Amino acid sequence: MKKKQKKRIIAHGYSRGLIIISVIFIAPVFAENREPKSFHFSLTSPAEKKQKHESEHAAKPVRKYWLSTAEKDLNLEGYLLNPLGEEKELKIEKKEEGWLVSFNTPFKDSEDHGANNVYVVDKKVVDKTLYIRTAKWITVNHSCGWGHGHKHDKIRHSALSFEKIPFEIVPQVLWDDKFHIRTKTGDNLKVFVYSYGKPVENAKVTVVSEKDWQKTMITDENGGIEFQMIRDYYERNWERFHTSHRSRMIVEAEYEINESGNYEGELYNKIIMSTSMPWKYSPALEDYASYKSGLTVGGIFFILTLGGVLLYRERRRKPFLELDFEKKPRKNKKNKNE
Amino acid sequence: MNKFKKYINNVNISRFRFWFQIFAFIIMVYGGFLSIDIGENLPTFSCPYIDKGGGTCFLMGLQHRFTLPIDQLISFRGLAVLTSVLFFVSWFIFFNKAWCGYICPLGTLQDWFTKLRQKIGIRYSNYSEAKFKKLKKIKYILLGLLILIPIFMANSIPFIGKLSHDWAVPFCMICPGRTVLPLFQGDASQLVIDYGSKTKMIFTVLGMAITGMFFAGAFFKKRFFCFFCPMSALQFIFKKLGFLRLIKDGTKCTKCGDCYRACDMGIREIADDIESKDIIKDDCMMCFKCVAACPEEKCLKVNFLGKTIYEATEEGFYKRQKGKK
Amino acid sequence: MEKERFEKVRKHVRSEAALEAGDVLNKIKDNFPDNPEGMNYFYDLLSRQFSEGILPKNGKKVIGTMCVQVPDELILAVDAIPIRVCSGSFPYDNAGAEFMPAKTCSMIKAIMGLFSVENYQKKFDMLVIPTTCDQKKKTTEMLTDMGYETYSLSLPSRKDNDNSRHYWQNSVKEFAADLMKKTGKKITTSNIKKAIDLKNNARYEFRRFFNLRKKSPSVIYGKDAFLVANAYFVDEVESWTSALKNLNDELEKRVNKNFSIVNQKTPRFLFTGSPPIFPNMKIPLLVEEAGGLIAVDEVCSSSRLLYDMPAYDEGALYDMIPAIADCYLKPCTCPCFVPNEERKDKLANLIDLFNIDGVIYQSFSGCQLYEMEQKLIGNFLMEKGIPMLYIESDYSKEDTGQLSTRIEAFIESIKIKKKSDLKGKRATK
Ligand code: SF4
Ligand code: SF4
Ligand code: SF4
Ligand code: SF4
Repeated sequence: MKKKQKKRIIAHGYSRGLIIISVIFIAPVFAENREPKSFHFSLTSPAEKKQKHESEHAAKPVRKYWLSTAEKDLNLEGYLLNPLGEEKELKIEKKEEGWLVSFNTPFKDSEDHGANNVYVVDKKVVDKTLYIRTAKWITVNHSCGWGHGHKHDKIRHSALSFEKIPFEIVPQVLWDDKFHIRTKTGDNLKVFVYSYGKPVENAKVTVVSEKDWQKTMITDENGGIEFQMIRDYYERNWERFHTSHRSRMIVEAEYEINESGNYEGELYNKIIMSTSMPWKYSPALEDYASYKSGLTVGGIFFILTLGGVLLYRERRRKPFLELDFEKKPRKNKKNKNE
Repeated sequence: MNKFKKYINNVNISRFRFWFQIFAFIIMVYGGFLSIDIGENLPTFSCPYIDKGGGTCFLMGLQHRFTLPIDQLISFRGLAVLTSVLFFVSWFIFFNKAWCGYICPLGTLQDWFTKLRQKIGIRYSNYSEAKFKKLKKIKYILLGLLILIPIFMANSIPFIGKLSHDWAVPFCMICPGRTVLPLFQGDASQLVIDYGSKTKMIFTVLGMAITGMFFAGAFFKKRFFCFFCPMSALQFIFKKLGFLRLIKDGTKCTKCGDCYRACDMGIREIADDIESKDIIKDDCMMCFKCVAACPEEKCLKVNFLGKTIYEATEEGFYKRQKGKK
Repeated sequence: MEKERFEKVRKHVRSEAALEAGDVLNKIKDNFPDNPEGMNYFYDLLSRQFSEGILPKNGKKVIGTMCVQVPDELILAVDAIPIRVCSGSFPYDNAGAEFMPAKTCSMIKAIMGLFSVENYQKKFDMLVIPTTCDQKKKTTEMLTDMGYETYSLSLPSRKDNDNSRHYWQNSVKEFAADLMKKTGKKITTSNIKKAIDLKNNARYEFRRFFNLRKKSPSVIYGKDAFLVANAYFVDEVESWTSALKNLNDELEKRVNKNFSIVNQKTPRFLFTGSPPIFPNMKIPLLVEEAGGLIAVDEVCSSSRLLYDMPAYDEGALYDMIPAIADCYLKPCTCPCFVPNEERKDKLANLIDLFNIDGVIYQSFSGCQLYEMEQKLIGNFLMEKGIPMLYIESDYSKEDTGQLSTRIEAFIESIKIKKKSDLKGKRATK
């Protein structure tokens, strides 16, 4: 049963694709587009073109993430949620290349062993609209060397939301119980959109693949949507295909509220919230592995061994006349004692 | 007390072992469903490739941990390797090699193959002694490789450079534990050939070949795989620490060879060595079938921390032989 | 003419043998106090053996065996009767001496005498002789020449490696196959299981008997123990087992009542070497009449006969037959094996278990193996500080006088030693 919401919500198209369109058609009219763009976390600074992926297996003393935006005048607040759901300190620095957040993860099996949520929140009023932009990164601080003692420790490997965050995306499944990422090409990813820890219906979720394929969906009453992670990694040549390749999918969400207010002295009559969460996934087994060959190899060796043993037995019976009571005696068998 | 002791000594150890193994198998293979996690660094093949297993095989962690540059290996991170070995040893000393005879799911599986063969009435295979001696060495070679290869993943070899990441957990790649045990949870995903890279392909082909041989071999030869198992080699290094011991009193032994007959691992020393007191050999899995098969009073004994918990007796022997089907 | 002469000889030898047996049996019964009731069965059986003959008359096939290594489970499994034909009879020994080389061992001569004097060709369906010592080997051929059906069971000379073990297993397997052919009966898992159980029951009682003999001071004389085992040569396994069970129960009562036939001071001996076979009880009787006690022995006609038990793992022929084979080869301490370290180990163990004061080593003159191994055993025992008396003898009675002086002197010396030992023990206490 759907509950009708009373608030009017204006769906607002917002995504990279539309920016381009708007730039082409509308830009000449409003010479300057002052609308702030959403941003996301990345392992590389905005200046670097290369993409990097974080390994969920290797521990690091310090975790560092860059914001993807080149804007200089941000008013960032940082939040860090450890695997047990406790708030911790996050350091924010303004650097030459952009914004860098960091926190320490000492090399040991401690309270930060597991999934840590990293957030930044930026608020500003532009053209009477309050833009609340957040970015989120989930990092798994784990080393197999610490062991998998938290295997049955539910809170450690479930995805958490944080009630201080105005707008965030929370994946439904996270790591397996050993903190290994399991999402593969073709898998469905279910995410929920939360605002201050409460689900948001009718938010617009856009997923953008590595090569900028994208899809937009609207969340249901639980704030959830589900989508399939499409294959976006192709190599012409087998040699260059790496099963360890990680594809990135950026999940973004946006939501508009008609509400007036005053933010640090500036009046607004509308709030636009946006958030992002990068996600990674690897090629599916089906892309590069084959049962048929596996069973063939196994079968061949099974039959070879079986045949080998039987043949050996058969041959042993001949020259030495090894007696086998389970078999009928051969004809023409010579007997030395006759 | 005496009556109880007599009762124990008359026990049919094979039957006890059969049920114990089933119990251990359920814990090791289905433990996750029962929220049981015995722990890590287990000296047995409780393979983590089983999705919801009840523990983790030490070899997996060992291979991961040795993927370290030498300078780190000899510094504080080497300490982590050391602690894990300590954990392994502390698990190990309780049951000594009985981990193999009573707990290892792969060993149990092989025993079931043997049971099946017996039911059908097909003769077992034996290695000749010379061949046996040669084959025994394989496990030490495998143990060496499974430590060296991870080291060379993090340190470069002259002229060749570092081994790629595809060499990770090299032994697991060819271990039948990985391919066979997950099947018990309906997971056949390990039965594939991985064309992701050449190295992976070769490893998975080897793994499947060994799996094929495992099925056929274990059917004919009792505990076929255990002769090659590096876990068994690793355990043997620490056998002196074990609480559980197999003790032989050589003066009582007639070298009748009954124990040798019973031994699934074909350990001749158990009958012919009358000098050693602590008679555990590297292939031994401490199944104690030999103790049950020895007709000499108190000749073979099972000790736990110096206390005899099971020993050969004439009466027990006679009862067991009579009770055979 | 020839035939008649033969008949005459046979009658003569037979009556002599019966006389000898009766004599020895009387000595065994009358010269000693406190014979257990349970022994009567065995006395009767052995006297019947010589007055009436031993061959069963129930129409079953009869298979003669020599030496302990013949796996008679197989014979029992094909529903034939195994009879050990090794003989201890002096008249037959004499008869054999007529055509055997002078330096042949008495037992071989007696066997050959028995089979030449008696017309057993029709009565034994097969004579199974393992290739133990050289004399037994040639006996096989000579018996074949005399018209007997023989079977040479090929035994390896070494038992300390796996090859010989497999060799022997194959010999036994072959034997099993030939037995099946001979008797027309199949060996199946169920009948071999029955045979193993049958023999294991006998072995179990025998072990009980063996353990009862450990009691010091003893509850039974060595001469009786020899007879019990000797009876097994010719008796049916089941009735033998139940008779021994009776005897064991009786002995157990003696143990419980703390009743013993000798006192604390009686020297306890271990008898080893060539096998005394009834009625050749010469040495054991001399020892026990002179006040010694044969507490235990290590001979193939007695303690070694039924001591070792087979253990099979899988209840199928492919495992049961080799298991039977193993138990006849590996623990066997026959001097025909080389090396034969196990014999020393066994003697040492028996000396410990049975509280032995001295060892009596008999070897038949002409039995090279026991004669030669005497040196090795002698040295070994000297190192251990156990006195040993070596006696070379045969089946004749000529040397009785001389032997009894030697034996008496030996016993005396041990008694003195024992006394001082006892005193020493008390003193240290
Ligand atoms: S030796 Fe056999 S039983 Fe022991 S760990 Fe290896 S596979 Fe398991
Ligand atoms: S694959 Fe084999 S060695 Fe590796 S973790 Fe599993 S059982 Fe252990
Ligand atoms: S079964 Fe006992 S007596 Fe026989 S060889 Fe083995 S340990 Fe020795
Ligand atoms: S020596 Fe004994 S305990 Fe060890 S494997 Fe053989 S039978 Fe089992």
